[in-house]
Amino acid sequence: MKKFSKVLAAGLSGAMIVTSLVGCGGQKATDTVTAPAEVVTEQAPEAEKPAESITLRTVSMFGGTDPMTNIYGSSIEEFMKSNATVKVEDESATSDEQWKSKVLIDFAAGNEPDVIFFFTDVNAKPLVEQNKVVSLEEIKSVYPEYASNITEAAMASAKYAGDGKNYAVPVRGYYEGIFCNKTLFDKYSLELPTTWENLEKAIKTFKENDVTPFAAALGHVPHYFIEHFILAEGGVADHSNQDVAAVKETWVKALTNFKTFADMGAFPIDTATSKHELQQQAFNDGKAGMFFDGNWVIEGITDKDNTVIVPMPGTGNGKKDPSDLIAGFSSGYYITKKAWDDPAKRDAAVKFVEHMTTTDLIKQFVVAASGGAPAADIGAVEGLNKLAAAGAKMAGEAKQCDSAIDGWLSKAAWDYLLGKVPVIAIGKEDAAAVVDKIIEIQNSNK
Amino acid sequence: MIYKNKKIIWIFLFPTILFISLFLYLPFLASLFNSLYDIPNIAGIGKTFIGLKNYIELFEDPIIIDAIKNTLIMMLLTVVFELGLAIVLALLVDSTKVAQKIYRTIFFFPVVISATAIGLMFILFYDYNVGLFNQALVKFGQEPKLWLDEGKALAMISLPVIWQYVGFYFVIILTGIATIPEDIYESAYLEGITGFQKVRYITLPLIKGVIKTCLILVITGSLKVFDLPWTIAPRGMPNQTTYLLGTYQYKTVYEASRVGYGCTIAILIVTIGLVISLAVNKFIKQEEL
Repeated sequence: MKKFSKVLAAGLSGAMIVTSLVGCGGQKATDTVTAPAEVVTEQAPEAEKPAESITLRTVSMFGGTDPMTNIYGSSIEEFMKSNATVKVEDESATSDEQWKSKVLIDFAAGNEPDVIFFFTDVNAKPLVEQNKVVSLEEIKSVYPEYASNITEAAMASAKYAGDGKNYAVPVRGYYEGIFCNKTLFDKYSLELPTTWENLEKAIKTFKENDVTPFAAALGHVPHYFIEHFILAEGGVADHSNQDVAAVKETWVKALTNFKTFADMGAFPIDTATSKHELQQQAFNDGKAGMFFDGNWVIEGITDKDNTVIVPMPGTGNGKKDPSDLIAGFSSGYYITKKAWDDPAKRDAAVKFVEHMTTTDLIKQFVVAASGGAPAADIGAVEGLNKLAAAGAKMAGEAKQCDSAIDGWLSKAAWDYLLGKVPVIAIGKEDAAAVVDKIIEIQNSNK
Repeated sequence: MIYKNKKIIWIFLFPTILFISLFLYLPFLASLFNSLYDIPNIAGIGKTFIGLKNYIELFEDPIIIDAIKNTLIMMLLTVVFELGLAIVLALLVDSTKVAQKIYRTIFFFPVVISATAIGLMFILFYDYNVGLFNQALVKFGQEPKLWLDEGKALAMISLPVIWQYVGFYFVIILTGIATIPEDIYESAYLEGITGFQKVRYITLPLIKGVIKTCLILVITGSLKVFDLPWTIAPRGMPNQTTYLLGTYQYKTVYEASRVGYGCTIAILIVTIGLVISLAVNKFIKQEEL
């Protein structure tokens, strides 16, 4: 017994030391993973001599609850079938602030994947500035047909604003708008909020009849309100102006709307502490008349036949055309320098991205995600539900589109603004003071 | 000392000292160093030296005052309820003969549940529309309450934090009580002591050391508590009033992307922790058995 406990003690301490060292040296972990893969391919009973197996690490936001997860997964299976020498290890997860941080940390630690589907806006700053991703220009110089099916408009929108170059291949664009519960609007004989007066009337009537006008979680996701208030007040011209000091008046008027709307009772009683998903559920349960979101939420709307989407109305000062939208292409497939510089992986990575961005696959993605703007010309789209078709129509009819402010505003300034929205709504903070601070943070981040 | 050759002690301690230095002290020194810089992203690109500007900002930041205040309130709540309840439970369970093991398992159970899972569960308890608490209130004919309003939010966030770790301290104190030799109690019974007097004059003084250790653990734990508050009320909701030092630091580094300022907050947390721990150490003297 004594001997056994000695052996056990030695074994446990050994295990503890080994497990504590496992975290060090990312290289070691990947090597241990590639080794078994090579063994498997070499044992395959093929007539030709065993080819060298390549492991491609890919990351995307098509994981977890994202509606495109299944298509993405099956596309990867197809790719591996037709490219027997490549093993794809995918680590995708639903995109949120935490996932974005994780990606940036991986890149900073040298643990980046070979191919990543990520944002092309300000979130890409560390990737581009650390020189960790390859520009499309460089890829095309070696593979001229790369991303040749992507439209000019999509490429223009998916540029990295910092240096005007393209680093990612876009697949699908987004659009945002107000989702309206048509049943509730008809019940109280209200017109859809296509004008500012209609919007205010809808809020007042809903409030009087104990229906929450906007299903909103201002403490959690006020993003859409910020974008659309500024768009409504200043149109695309002011919304896209990155010199906030020059359009300060628009911003102040727009942000003051949080207080005005709150006083009108437009937001639910727990807007400061609720979560966006719970508010979406309240909208689905018919407890709220309107819900601000983007095309990605369409799959999660339960009553698609009685829900409509409309663009944000202008405040009436003539700056915003009624059809103007927040929309754009803000994500795409990157090939990392790590994969590009590795001659074995370069070809596999290029083939992978080309496989994932064929026009047919883009069409499937657009249908699965219930719409959104396609990055390639996919022709007429069948198989879209009523709401998605209406949304795609709205996106197609927009005179002008502008991508979201959180795509170019510095993270520190955007985070400051997010935190101050519910405080402005309850009147404890002055919109002008908040905008001044945003300008200050923006200037110090230049 | 039993060992004649003190070198053996050093040989056995060396791996742990190395480990702690590399993964605790070195990062702390790095944080101290980084707090003198403005670092706009986690990769450290664009690092600029700004001297003590972060510390000046720390003193002028209104949210830090709220965060310190909230952290101290949570510390008080956890000491009184978490530790207090743990002591009461331990005393009660110690006097039962039957089913001591069952109680230990039941009370320790919440400790092994993931804090995030508990947080998500409590979000569904506190929700205004579909939450369990409001559903129960409505069933009994009451009006639904806004559980996370500015007045109650901090208490509501502390509730699951306290609930989760009562069992942990309960087990530690119960073990401490079990080490008290039976003969002390026997001689006390001979002198006609009552139950309450037994607790006050014998049990509590003899577990003072254990209580002191638990007190320091509770205090330092509440200083860095993060997972539960962040899951239930991220970004200090409602209206930036429920920031704790741990959650504010997380937001500063990972959402506002200001790593230098985040390091400054980290130094503040460690300083406050050290001061309070030293004070506790000084004021509660160990009773020798």
